[in-house]
Amino acid sequence: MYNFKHFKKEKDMSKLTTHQIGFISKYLKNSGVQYTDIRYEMTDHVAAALEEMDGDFYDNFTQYMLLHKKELLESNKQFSRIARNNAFKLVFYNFIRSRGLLILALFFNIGLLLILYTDTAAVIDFYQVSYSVLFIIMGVAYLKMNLFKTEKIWSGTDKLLGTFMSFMYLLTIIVKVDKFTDTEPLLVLYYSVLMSLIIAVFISYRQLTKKYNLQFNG
Amino acid sequence: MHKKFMYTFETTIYDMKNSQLYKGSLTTIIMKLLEENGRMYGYEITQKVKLITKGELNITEGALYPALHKLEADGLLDVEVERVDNRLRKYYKLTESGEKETVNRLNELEEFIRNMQNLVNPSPKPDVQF
Repeated sequence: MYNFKHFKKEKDMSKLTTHQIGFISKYLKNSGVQYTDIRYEMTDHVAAALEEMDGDFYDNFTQYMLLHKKELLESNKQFSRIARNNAFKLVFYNFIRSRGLLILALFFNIGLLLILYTDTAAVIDFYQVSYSVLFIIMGVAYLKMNLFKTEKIWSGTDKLLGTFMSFMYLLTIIVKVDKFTDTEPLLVLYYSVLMSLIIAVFISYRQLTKKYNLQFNG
Repeated sequence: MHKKFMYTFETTIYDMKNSQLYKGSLTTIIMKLLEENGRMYGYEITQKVKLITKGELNITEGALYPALHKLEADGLLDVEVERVDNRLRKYYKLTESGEKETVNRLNELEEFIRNMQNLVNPSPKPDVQF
């Protein structure tokens, strides 16, 4: 009876299989690397390192993670921070460029005109409600991304919505503007700025989503 | 030595004895490599640095990728993603402004090395010789 063990060929470790790549990706996801773009890059890095190692894939993987997991997760935290900072910059850029300022001017001027020709209290209420609706839409988009995790989660878009949701919620809670002023034009300006900011967030979200889809989905 | 055990020694961001010295030069190192090699991916950069420095300098993931992403965010690097060997790979290359910035940073680094050399090994002053 032949001992087929002697004839068992060592698996060619030069290229990993789809299953092995999937294993690495799943492990990283379960370890907290939730963002798809970051996980793609980390998976490639780990896979490239393992492809240079001889021996059993799972042994090599264990060995590699024992030595490098801490670094990988540390870089994951830094990625997230960079993504958040980039999101802030993009929103600020979209807010202050001509299109953003035009939207702000439009909201403000429409508000002023409405104040001149209609009931002032109704105009302020209308602006408050409009801002709340836009805020809720932003919230729904963020929840959809995080609760129903069927889609890919990109670091930039998640940080963008998450950060601005928190920021605007805190702003609304802390800065009760009607306690500081009852001057209608100032109130209109305040809500106009908030609504323009949310629109800048939506524009930035679309730009980032398009960028990620172009990069990773071809 | 079995390749499996190569990673036993690669546990620090840089060689511990000179980590602070290299820290400020990481982005310059990355940009210089990209200038010479066109486009590269993350793991390739770490291996190239290790090869050139004969294993003296090991850049880990925690140092490399944040640096790459920062350079990308600053508009100095461009990114291309391709499907390679059953996965997606992100390649980095210098933008036009990145190429200009690389020249500036290399000049700064050369000046730094020159100044450090003068400080560490000052040339003897002829009028003070005995």
